Amino acid sequence: MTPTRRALLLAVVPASFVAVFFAYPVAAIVGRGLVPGGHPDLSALGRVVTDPRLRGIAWFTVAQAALSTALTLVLGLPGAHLLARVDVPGRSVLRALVVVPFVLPTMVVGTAFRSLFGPGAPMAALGLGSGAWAIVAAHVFFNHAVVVRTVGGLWAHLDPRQEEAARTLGAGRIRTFCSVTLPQLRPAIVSAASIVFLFCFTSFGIVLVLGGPRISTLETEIYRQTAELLNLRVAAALSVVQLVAVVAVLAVGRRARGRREVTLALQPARRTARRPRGIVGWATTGAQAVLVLALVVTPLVALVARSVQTPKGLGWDHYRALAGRGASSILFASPAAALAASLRNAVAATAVAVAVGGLAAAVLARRPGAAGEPAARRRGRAGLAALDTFLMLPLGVSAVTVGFGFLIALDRPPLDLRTSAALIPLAHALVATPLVVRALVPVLESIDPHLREAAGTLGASPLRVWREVDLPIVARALLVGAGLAFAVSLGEFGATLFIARPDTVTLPVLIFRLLSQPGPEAFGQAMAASSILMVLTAGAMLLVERIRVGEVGAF
Amino acid sequence: MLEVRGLTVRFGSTTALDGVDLEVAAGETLAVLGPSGGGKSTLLRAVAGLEVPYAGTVSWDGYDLAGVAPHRRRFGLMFQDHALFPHRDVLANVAFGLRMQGVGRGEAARRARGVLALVGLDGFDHRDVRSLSGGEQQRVALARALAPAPRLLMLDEPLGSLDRRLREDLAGELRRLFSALGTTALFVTHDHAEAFTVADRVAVIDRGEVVQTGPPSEIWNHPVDERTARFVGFDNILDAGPHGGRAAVRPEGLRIDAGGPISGVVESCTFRRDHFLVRVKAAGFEEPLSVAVPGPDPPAPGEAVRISVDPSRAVALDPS
Repeated sequence: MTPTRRALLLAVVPASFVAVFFAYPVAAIVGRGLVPGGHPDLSALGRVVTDPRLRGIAWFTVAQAALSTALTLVLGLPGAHLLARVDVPGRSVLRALVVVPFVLPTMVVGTAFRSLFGPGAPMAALGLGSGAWAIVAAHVFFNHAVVVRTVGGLWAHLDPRQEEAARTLGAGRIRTFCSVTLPQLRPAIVSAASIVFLFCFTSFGIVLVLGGPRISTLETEIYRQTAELLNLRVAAALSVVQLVAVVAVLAVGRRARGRREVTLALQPARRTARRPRGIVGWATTGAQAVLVLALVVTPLVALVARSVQTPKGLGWDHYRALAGRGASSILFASPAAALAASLRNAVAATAVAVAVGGLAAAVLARRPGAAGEPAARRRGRAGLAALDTFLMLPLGVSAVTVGFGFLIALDRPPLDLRTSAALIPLAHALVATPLVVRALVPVLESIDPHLREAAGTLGASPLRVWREVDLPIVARALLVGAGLAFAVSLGEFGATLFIARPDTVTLPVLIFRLLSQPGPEAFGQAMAASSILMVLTAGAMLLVERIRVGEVGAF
Repeated sequence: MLEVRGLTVRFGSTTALDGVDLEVAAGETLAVLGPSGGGKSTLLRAVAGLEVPYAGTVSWDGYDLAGVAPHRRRFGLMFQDHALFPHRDVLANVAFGLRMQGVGRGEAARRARGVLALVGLDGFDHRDVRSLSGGEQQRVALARALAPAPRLLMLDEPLGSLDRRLREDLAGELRRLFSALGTTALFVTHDHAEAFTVADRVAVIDRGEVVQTGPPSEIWNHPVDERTARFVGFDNILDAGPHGGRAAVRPEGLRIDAGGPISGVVESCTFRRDHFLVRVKAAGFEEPLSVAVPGPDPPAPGEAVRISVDPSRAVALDPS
């Protein structure tokens, strides 16, 4: 078998996985929205455009995403500078801490900000109690890490001598930043901004928890139209609008990323970080560190504090109540059963994501061989790029689209999975697979092809080469990818809410149900359940962060 | 024995190897000598089965190897960049090939230690390969290639990354090792001194073609054409040599001689350990002539000189 044939064979598994569990459901959505009953009919789409309420929702979706993105950039750049350029004690701890919010389940972030912004909470006292402000604040908290990691990642590698040259040529500090540093960071900033915008645009759990009944975005409206109004055609039309917007934003981000590699003279990060100098230097650094810590830590502390706050003072009452709570008509499942279901799902989803993502990474990391005609090589590269984009789609497109698509596509022959225990893990694996691929591909690509050839000439068959060379080198990255997949599955909410059945309720869905119950007891228990979920995911991620130390890896 | 017939390798529209013919007899060491980018590494990769030839055959003892995968050829290849496995220690690197042959762990380790001793690395067993010096890495790579006793050992610029002194020592060591083990070896280098030290025979390759094959002394004394001549140190090409026809002359074959037939002006004068190398812009020559001047008082730049040719040190070139 030629290497090309082998690659095609390997590619079949991940490509069909995404085709069956993503492309097919999305096609079903488009069909439901635009060609109901087999006849093209754009009236549902027309309603979305003309209905003033739906137009208002679309406008609010864009506006909150734009505002959240702008604020995230403003607050994220100092953090990026701090972690990329300043050699402060405890930098690696700070770096790990900064990522925590991004991997937290949206339900945890939502409840944390409910505890900060809700009635009688600190921010409400400042007059920022309204849902829209809470949503924007939660989005900034959630996406801060994207800016710090993406921009900081590039910043750490920019040659500081260019700034020094500008200074010796008479440019002041601010002038240097604006005319030398900022233009070089631009691609990373644009790239981070497009990712953050996308996440805010498709944000679901946070809006649902913090927006209450009055505030909707396209995502939550799709859910409302589906679950409450049972209006699947309008939901499908909204999904189509959403899909078009997401693809457009993805395209902008991709263009910006593509330009990044061109001209910059990048340096190893360890050469660019400097100790702060003088009182002003340390004061600036301290202020940056306080800002980062406040941003990251405050909501989490507020969450945990609220979970141990009872009418009788501090105590574990909410946790105890949670443990003692059985299945009920409102929760469907007992908290203990939901936790068990979440863990089961996470294990299954991780296994699928690692298997599918591992195969995909093995294909994507191959360089089309030097031999062969240039046209064939071009075709090979184009094929790889197409596969890459295809596999990344589920990450960019919203969780609600995934869940809604599963709901309307996988409930009838040829694929009737309504009652299958695999449904939720499959949806989670779909979202987690791109993360596994992203963790593995850079490491696989960094393996010197001579190592594989050397093993080959020493008598190792292609399969043996994979086992003896690729696998040991990539093992750590595989673990990182598995940890990410596990955390993502534990916290997944949007897709799960659509497809969870009474007997398959997960922890995030249970938290959502607790939050929608009246009374301070249910609220306290939601805080307690959120705290548990936070500890689980943050724990998994910190473990992974420790493993990642000393390794290259883009965000 | 290895036989290469009409081997042609193409990358897209560029031809890396063009109809190469070579033989390596059992127990023989053949050096492939040529400038960088001349297709030497491609030759080794094609023989190892890592590149698919566009045309031609590679055969062993009369058996055509087309379609035989690299891991079934039992040809060892020592890479120019060593390609040591970074996730394994020295001993595990060297034992790798033995383990691939199905040798048990203990036996493989024992035999690997023996090979390590052979290359002078006793006691390096559990060192991290990334912590080794260039010379030590080179020895580990050699030991790793030797350990499974390949029927043909190929070496790609094995001494290329080392400094000069170490290179000279190790070239002699390789020679002794190969003759002691009876190794059949094919190695490529751009350094003619290295090729002449290690090899029984030398094949000169340039722009993908073998231009001359023969024992070192023959290549050294009788290069067949101008390219080969220049490559092995004949810096001066005379259109009308002392024997009639074109001739190649080393700097040592020219003399500053007031009665010489060639006149010119000194361009530069460089100190070279045991002589001065004087570059002379001579009438009737496009490129300056290089003359080795042994004495302590070389002519200064700008000085007019006359040059004569030592007929015994001029090599007639076939019309090319």
